This record gives sequence, structure tokens and C-alpha cells, in this order.
Amino acid sequence: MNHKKSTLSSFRDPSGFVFYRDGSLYRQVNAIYKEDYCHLMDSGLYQALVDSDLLIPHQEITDLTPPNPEISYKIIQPVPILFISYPYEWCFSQLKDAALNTLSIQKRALDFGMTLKDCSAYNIQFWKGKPVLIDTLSFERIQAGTPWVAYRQFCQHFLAPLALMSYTDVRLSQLSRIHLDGIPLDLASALLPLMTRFRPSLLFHIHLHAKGQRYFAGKDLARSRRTMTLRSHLALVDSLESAVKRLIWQPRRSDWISYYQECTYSQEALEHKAALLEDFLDEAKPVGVWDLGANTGFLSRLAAERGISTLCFDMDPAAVEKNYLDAKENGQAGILPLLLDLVNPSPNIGWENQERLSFMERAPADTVIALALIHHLAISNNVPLSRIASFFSRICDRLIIEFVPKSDPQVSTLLKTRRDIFPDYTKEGFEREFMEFFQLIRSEPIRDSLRILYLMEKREMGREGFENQGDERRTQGHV
Amino acid sequence: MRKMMKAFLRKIRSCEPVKIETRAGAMFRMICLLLCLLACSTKAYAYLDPGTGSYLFQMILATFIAVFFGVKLYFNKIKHFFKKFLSSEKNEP
Repeated sequence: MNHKKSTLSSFRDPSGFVFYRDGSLYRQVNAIYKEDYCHLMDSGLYQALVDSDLLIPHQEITDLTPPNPEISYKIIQPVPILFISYPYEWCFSQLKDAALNTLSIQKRALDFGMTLKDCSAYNIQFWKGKPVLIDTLSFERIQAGTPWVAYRQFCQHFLAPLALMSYTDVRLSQLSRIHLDGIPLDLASALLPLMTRFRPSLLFHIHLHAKGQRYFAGKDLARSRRTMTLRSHLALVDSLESAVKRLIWQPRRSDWISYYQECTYSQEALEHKAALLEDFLDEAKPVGVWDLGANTGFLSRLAAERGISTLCFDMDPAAVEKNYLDAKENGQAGILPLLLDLVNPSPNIGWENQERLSFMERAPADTVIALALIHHLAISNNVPLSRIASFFSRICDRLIIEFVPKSDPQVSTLLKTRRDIFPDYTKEGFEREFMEFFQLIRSEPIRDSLRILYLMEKREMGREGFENQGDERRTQGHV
Repeated sequence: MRKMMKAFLRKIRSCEPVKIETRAGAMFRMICLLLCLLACSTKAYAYLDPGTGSYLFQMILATFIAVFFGVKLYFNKIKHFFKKFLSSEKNEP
């Protein structure tokens, strides 16, 4: 077990930290945070937030020696989150829901005499299909007259990226990957179009806020005679809430979102592919599935409907948005759609390059589904089949993969504008490279098409080895 | 222009606030301050210390929007009263 690694994302907070013991996640509450923790629990705030699915539930543990006993007050065990995702992997509506969740928490906290002391978007995770706060130690008792210390962080982590995605370009969500403490407001202000200066909420919270940061920087706080009343706090939260609610993003028709309507599949082929996938899932009986290149999650739902925890990755923000909104509308809590470019997946970032983990570090998955994906990796992106097979062997235990031959109309389209430099891209070449890492369990041709669906299992490491390896990594994003 | 705005800002800030410190007067001062921020800002320390700027800016902004929030609350109360009144009238036989 790697304690050093497991606590890397919670090192900033003196109130406590997360650690692992025997594969389970715990949080040490430090003595310095005792009063605030007691107020959170005794005032009824904790229960109110947990009852509303706004905060991750935890239980207090008494029979565990704390890692730092000299500064420890209590050990708590939060409900584990199966997969830690990051704001730059969320679609517009996921970030918006996370922002509204944060503001609801702040409003509720004010009712109980507390306030959020930090508003990092990384403190929010998706659990049962909804955003929840995972950092139980984010609260502090409110001091009369003082402003909301996390106001700037809220604007940088939520409001600025949402406004940029809404008004400028949805792909600017990736700025959060570079700016770990949120998008600097002067940068957001410069990138937003002129019309946003005529929207009072954005004028105040982004443009004037950015100017205010410059104007008041270095001023003596002690000389300020101003104080903030509870009504001012509520007004601020109310204003931010209206600002966030008014931000919308209407995806334009993207290539991927209309894939199933326009692709060369016949209805029979699509139905047979879905039936085969169901068969393979029933045979493999996975506990968790990652669907890579999931598009709008049309086929991922076959896994989710079987009670399998399903992550849907796609590089198209419109497809992820549609997938999330559909899952939300239909109450499909087992699906988590995420934004990911497989040829440039989320890297390790932050302090010591270990604060926010890469896509690979959060693997492995029990089973990976890769349907109609391989030709995009091999032909559009020139990744050799051997490298693709090696990649899959690093991220999963079992693999359901569709091979799309060169004679398929989709691949022919890809090859129209380029020289065919892929002599090894054949069924035989595919099987040869993949059998280096996997053993074949089943393969079935898809009716009315030239494609083949494979079910494979990884050769070297058994399931137990993977599960032990995965447990620590999956939940270590706790902050 | 920037110099003029700065001088104007200094004047506003140096005003004796106690003499005619009505809510409207305080609001006026705040609106002027917010508008001045649009026109002039210094680069000093902003990179090093964005926190203090946000802290002080928030206090001014929150006082300003609290007035609108108060109006909104009263308006909601009136709306709620009429809704209740109308629905009770409908329910009467």
C-alpha cells in the first residue's frame, strides 16, 4: 500500500487528510478542526446535507490507530467513490450541476451558522449519477462580518469555465487542466465576448471581479471598515446561483452525435451487434465497465441496465453532454459519461505530478468495451496495432472489442484522403497482436457487416491481482 | 481620462461618510467605485495577491446586491401572498 501516494491530493488542508488502510479509504480529522467538525455534526448540517444527497456520507471509526496520532481528533470512513473524475473531464451540464450543488451546500451551511471554506471543483464527484461534495472537512463556522473566503475559488473553478464554455467555446473547459486552481479571472474576462459585459451577473462576478482583484491587490485588509451581513452572504450566493442557472450551452449538431443515424450500419447489423454485446456481457459478468468511444452511450446502456457500473468515455463534448442529460432524465445512476481524448488522455498533474491522476493511473477497469474504435486509433491516428493491444492490456482485465476491416465503408472513407500505409491492419494482424496480451474467449462476426466482435481476457495477471491494484488508485482522488 | 477617474475615486473614498450616510448615499458611493474599477486598475500585486482583491471586492459587491436581494425577497413575499389568496378564493365553494 502506498500511503505517500494516497495522501497526495489532500496535503494542502491542515484540517485533515485521507489515507488507506487494508485497501479502505479513511480520513483523519485533525485536532485543529475539532470545533468545526463537532459543529457540522451536532448542528444537524451534516444530516441535512446527506439527506439531500449533497454530501458524501461517512461513519466514525473508533478501532483504528490514526496515521498521525499526535494531531488526530477522529477517523472517519467516507463511502468510497468508484472512479474519481476531474472537471476537465466533465461536460457542460456536469460542471453546471456541480456548481449548483456547491451553491446549495453553501446556502444550507449558512442556515446552520457555517460556510464553505473552499470551493474547489475537485471536491465534487459524481456518485449515483449526481454531484456530491466529498470533502467533509470543507466547512467552518462563520465569523460575524467576514466575507465568503471561497468566493474567488467558486468564480475561478465554476463560473469562469461555464461562462467560457457557454459564450466562447465549449472546448475551453480544457483550460482547467492547465490552471489547477481554476481559470484566472483576468484571463476569463479577456476571452469572453463583449456582450457578457452587458450581463450583470457576469459583469460583476467575472469582469469587475477581475478588475477588483487588480485594484484592491496589496491593500491593507485591516483598514477596511466594511463587514458582511448574513443577508449579504445570501445575496451573493443567490446572485451566483442565478448567474450559473442562466448559462446554457446548446450543442451544435456534431459528427458524432448523429453517428448512429448516419453511419453505414444496417438496422440488422446494429441489432445483432447489440445482441452480441449483451451475450458477451452476460458471459463476462463484469462488476464495472469502461466504454471507450462510447458516443452518446447508446450501447453502454446495455451494461448499465444489467446493474454494471458503467463509465462512458468520448472525445466529443456534444456526445458526452447528450449522454449525461439522457442518463439524468431517465434516472440512470449507473452511468457516468466523461470527456476523454484517447490519443491524449488526462495526464498526471499538480504537485509532484501526482495531485490529479492520469487516466492510466486510474485504471484498470474490470472490462473495457471498444466498439467501432480501433480504426480511428490505427488509421486516423497512425497508432500501430501492437501499441493498441499493449494499451488495452494496461487498462483492463477483459476486453470486448470490435474489429473493423479495411473493406468496411467507414474505413474506406478514412483511407480516401490518405495513402494506405497500414499493411498489417488485417483481421490476422489484429488477432496476432492482441493474442500477445490477451487470450480469446469468443469471437463472432456481426451480421450484415464485415465486422467481428471479440471477447478476450488478459493473459498475465489474474483478476485478484488487478482488483488489489485498482482499489487504492480508484479512490485516491479524495481531497 | 484615467487620471481624472483616479482623482474622482480618491474624492469619493475621502468623503466624510457619517454626515449623510443614508442607504442611497452608500449605494451611490458603491456604484461609483464599481464603475471606476472598469475604467482604472493597477497591475500592482494582482498576480501575487488575487485573494485580497477578491476579498475586498466581494464586500462591496455583496452590499450592493443585498439591496436587490432584499427587493427580490419582498417581491417574492407579495407574489406568494397573491398566489395563496387566489388559490384560497378558487377553493371556496
